[in-house]
Amino acid sequence: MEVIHVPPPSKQAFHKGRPMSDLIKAQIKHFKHVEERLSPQQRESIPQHRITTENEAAQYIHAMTRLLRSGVGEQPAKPKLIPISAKKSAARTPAKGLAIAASAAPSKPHKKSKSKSSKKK
Amino acid sequence: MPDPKLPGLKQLQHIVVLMMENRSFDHMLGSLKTLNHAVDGLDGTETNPDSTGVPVSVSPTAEYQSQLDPDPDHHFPAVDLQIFGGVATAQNPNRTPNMQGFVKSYFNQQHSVKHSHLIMNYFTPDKLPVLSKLATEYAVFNRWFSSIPGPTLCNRAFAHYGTSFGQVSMDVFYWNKQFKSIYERLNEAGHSTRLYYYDEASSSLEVVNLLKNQPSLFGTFQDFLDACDKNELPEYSFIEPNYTDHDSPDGMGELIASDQHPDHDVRAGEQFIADVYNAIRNNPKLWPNTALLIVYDEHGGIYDHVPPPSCTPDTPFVAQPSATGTPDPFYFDRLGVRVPAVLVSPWVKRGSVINDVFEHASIPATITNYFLGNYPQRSMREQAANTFLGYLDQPAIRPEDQCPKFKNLK
Repeated sequence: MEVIHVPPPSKQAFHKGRPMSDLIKAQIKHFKHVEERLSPQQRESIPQHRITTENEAAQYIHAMTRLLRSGVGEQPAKPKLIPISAKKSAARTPAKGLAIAASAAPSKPHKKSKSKSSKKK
Repeated sequence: MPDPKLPGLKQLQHIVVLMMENRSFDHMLGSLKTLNHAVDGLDGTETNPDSTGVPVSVSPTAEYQSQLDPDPDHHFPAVDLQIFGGVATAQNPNRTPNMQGFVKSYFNQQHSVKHSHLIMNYFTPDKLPVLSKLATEYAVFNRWFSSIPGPTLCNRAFAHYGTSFGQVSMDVFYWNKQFKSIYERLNEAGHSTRLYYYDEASSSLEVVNLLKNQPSLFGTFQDFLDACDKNELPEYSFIEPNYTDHDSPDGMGELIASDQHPDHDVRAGEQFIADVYNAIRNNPKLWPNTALLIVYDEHGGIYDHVPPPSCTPDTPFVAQPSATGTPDPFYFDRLGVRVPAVLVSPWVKRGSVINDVFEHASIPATITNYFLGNYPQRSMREQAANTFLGYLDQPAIRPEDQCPKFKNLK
């Protein structure tokens, strides 16, 4: 089978000044939520610039991610971690007792909420 | 329930999930129907009425960038309009999921009739050589739906936890201790797992719980590539693409978004998918024992013709009208719009088309069932979700020369 060549994005595609999407705004909001719970000393390394573009968001996210990856979170991490380089010795077999059911089961009638929305679409 | 004696399952050691952003099935893969009638794609006759009532046909004129700006609305009320055509309440007997509200929904953002028609555009296979080739050479899902008719974060929550804990929005401070993430489950049982975000400047969308509280679960995309090279890939890996165009944190250049979220260039995502695939495919110690799922988090407001089915309610969670922005509460008893999903493995039959219904809760359901077995503390939706490893069902591994290879051009 021949190797398939994959075209690159256009030279003009990169636009770091693009306004943030709702997705990135939500990501920033979550980071701000975490930042507000850090100590003043921990926040010293976090830039406080205006964030409207993708690149500005990336600069802030970079600083927050580095801080969090260093182990500075609201709660200390307590996972039982194992090295990811664990040797893969024997071939794995699926665990027994797999429980699988159809995910498209017909919906059951529900008790409707008494609250009514006054919101308009 | 897959047969554990299947040769592909006996060999399977690693599962990798790559979750891209905001494209519908028909937009990306609908044209595959012209190559294989088993694919539930487009025949060219599908229409949506625009705001003047004129029917707008699907069109094979999707472009890599610039057509879907502004970003099509995909919050809950907009998706409700897209699916139900504007019949907003269940009290109305005419409310059926007819997929007739996509053009109207896009019109609401700019009030441009002409621009609203672009939501019906789709790609032809030649424009998406990676995704199309993988879909035709391995297995494509005809019925993989987003978990919620809503935006990114609540949908991604289903991939991590098997539930969104009752949330239907981007304001997802959802985490509680009721259901553990798939990563926590695996760790506690002594299995290896990682979430790989692209780099620290793009980071993860799973900020509020995992990145904050368990940072050691994470790695960068370069870490993923290194793990593949060194045969140190965890048993379960979840990969996030680059979400922004940004300067490289090390000052070494510019990094283009690869998530395919509108209005990012789709070609960058194609190359990213190829990078993930190549890292596995080109390592003979990984390729026979690794399964790769490529899936999109939600449809991004872009047209798809298949009505989402009802599903097992995610009891006890209910989103009230104040949260849904619609007249009715939502019981998590209907799936979101269909998204592209492709299962890659040399143990998958070439050209498979899978018709069972899947959603993102199928991801933790599959990983949990395979690595942990019986695990009762799961959401109702995850307990009901189908699992996908049964499609690694070939009696022998496919020959090397029958598995495609990609080379990214610069």
